[in-house]
Amino acid sequence: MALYKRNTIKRGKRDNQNADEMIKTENLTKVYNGNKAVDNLNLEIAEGDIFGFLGPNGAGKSTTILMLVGMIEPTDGKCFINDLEVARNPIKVKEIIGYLPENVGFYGNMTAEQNLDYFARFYATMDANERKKRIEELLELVQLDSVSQKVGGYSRGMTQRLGFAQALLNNPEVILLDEPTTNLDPEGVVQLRQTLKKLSDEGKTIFFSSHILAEVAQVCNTIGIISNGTLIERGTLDEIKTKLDVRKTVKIIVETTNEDIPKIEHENIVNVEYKGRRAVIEAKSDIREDISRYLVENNIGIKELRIEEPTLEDIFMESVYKGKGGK
Amino acid sequence: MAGIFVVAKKEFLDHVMGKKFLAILAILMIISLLAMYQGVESYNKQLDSYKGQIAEIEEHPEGMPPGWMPEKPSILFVFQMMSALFGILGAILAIAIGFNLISGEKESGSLKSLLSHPVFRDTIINGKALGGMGALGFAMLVMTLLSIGILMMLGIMPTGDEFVRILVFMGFTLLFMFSFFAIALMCSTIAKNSTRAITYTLVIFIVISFVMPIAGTFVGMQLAGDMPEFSGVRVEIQETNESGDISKEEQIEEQERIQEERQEEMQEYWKKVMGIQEMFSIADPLSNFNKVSAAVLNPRFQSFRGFFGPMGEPPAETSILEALGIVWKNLLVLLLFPVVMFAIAYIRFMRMDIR
Repeated sequence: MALYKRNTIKRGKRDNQNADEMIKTENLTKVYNGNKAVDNLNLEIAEGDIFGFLGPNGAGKSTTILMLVGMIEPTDGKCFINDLEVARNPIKVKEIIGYLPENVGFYGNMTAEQNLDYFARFYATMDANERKKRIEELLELVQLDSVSQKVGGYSRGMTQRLGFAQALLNNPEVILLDEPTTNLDPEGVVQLRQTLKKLSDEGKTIFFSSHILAEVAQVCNTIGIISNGTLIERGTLDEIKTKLDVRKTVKIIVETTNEDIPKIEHENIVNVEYKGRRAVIEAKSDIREDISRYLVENNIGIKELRIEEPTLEDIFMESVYKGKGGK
Repeated sequence: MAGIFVVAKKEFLDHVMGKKFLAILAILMIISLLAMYQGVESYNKQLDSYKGQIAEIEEHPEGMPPGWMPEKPSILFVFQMMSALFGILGAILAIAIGFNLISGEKESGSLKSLLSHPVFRDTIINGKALGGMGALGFAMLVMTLLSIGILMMLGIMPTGDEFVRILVFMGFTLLFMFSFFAIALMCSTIAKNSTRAITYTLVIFIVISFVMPIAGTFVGMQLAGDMPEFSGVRVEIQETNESGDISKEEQIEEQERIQEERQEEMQEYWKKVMGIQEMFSIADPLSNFNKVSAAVLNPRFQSFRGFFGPMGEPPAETSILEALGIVWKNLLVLLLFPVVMFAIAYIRFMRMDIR
């Protein structure tokens, strides 16, 4: 589909930059009234990556994106998109990025087509025919092609979908989405995920900001966690889980086949909760082998014996809200 | 450069097709029509009186003072009556279209959408200014055509000089409207939201147009010292004074000299007061517009004559260029004011964080 056709962009090289990096920040800092909204942020996002930028409300996600798109000026540090420093090349950067702001807005007195056509007129490379064709494609993609009413009468979900269309208007290399699933219904969320995966397959770099871990986990292959303006961790989902799991114990689930679990004693056990044939054991180490041996010796059939892995949500809550993220 | 016209075209169409603009323009037109109707009625009465006086002179030339000729009324009188109204309504229209140009886009979120595309910030603010000024120009064009059309429909044909003066007056009215448009645009850029923007604009409007001139008069009267006594009552002239050494003629001369001195003192006093008052209202587009309008619409315009100036010959007729030369300072302020306000809005908009 033409929507996902790759842009051919000539890339200049900077000595200090890896050729695969599409988004990079160097000591990026933004101070508002003496408070650091973003504090010395260093990020490198590879071309074709779907990067999830995760953090609670007020962590500095939107401020970072706004600096990446040139809406606000960094107090200190620099940011680059495709080797171009944003502050020095705002127009060139905007030619290759698409941005969906949080709570995106449009001109209420105009239709979706008129709004998109207005924005498209700022691209010197798009003539009237190309604009028309592109707008039709995008409105079809976001299922607003049959809507003729003015944007002022749109629901928030429709506005969000139009926002996504305007972010793709110039077939961008880099797509920055700030809380893109806000206001979308479940069907809209699924469609967004599918579209993002298609865009990623086409080699687009996607920067996906959200405060909802499940959303990020669904679509992103790498994530960065920000809290109080500081990047706490970054990596793949598994790497993040490992790095952030600060718990000192493991949780073992045991379930027998036909009779209640007898009392289990082990020097590493911290706590046990018995519920008939099921027990949840908190231990200092993985003692499944010892448990298994003990149950077999007592002729008790084992239905289930596993370690319960913490979810990313658990780790996120633990690290960002209670642990490492708290300043 | 092309981007400016893209923005300006959209803004212009938004304004002239917007309900707010059309409603205020309609009010402006209705009130102007009423003012014109009144003005034309007064003009016709003056014209009838003039014709009667001419007929009287032709019938009884011996009964008229030597060299006296009645003055033919000018159609500019109609516009003189309208100018104050034009000023206030023009300011309201300009404020109405300017106060939410930036703040409204910040509130709706469309500014972020717009700025995420390859467009310079100066393109946006310049385009918005151009579009707004275009809309005001459109309103003024409609008003000018309407005014001249009505005059012609009523069978009143302005002379060449009057026609030029009407057009120049409309041009300065537009310039005056730009001043308030620029104030509103500046407030729209500075304020966090449109409610604050309109509040700031109205406060500035009231302070510079009403509070400052009143304060200027008050301060002027305080600083100018005590008002000289002016006595219009003449002391009874005696054949000779008590000592008998001053004649009646000499007493009259002495009295006239005292009267003249007092007149001069009074004129000097009011010049001081007006000078200080002018300092306070130097930044007031309304005061400057009123002075420039008076110069343009009154062919016998003179600058300060004083309230107690000699009532001799009526002032000589001045050409429009001469009249504008008299009020050049006001004209300069009227030209500079929107430029300064726009410059503040421009700098602020270029540097602001769009959050």
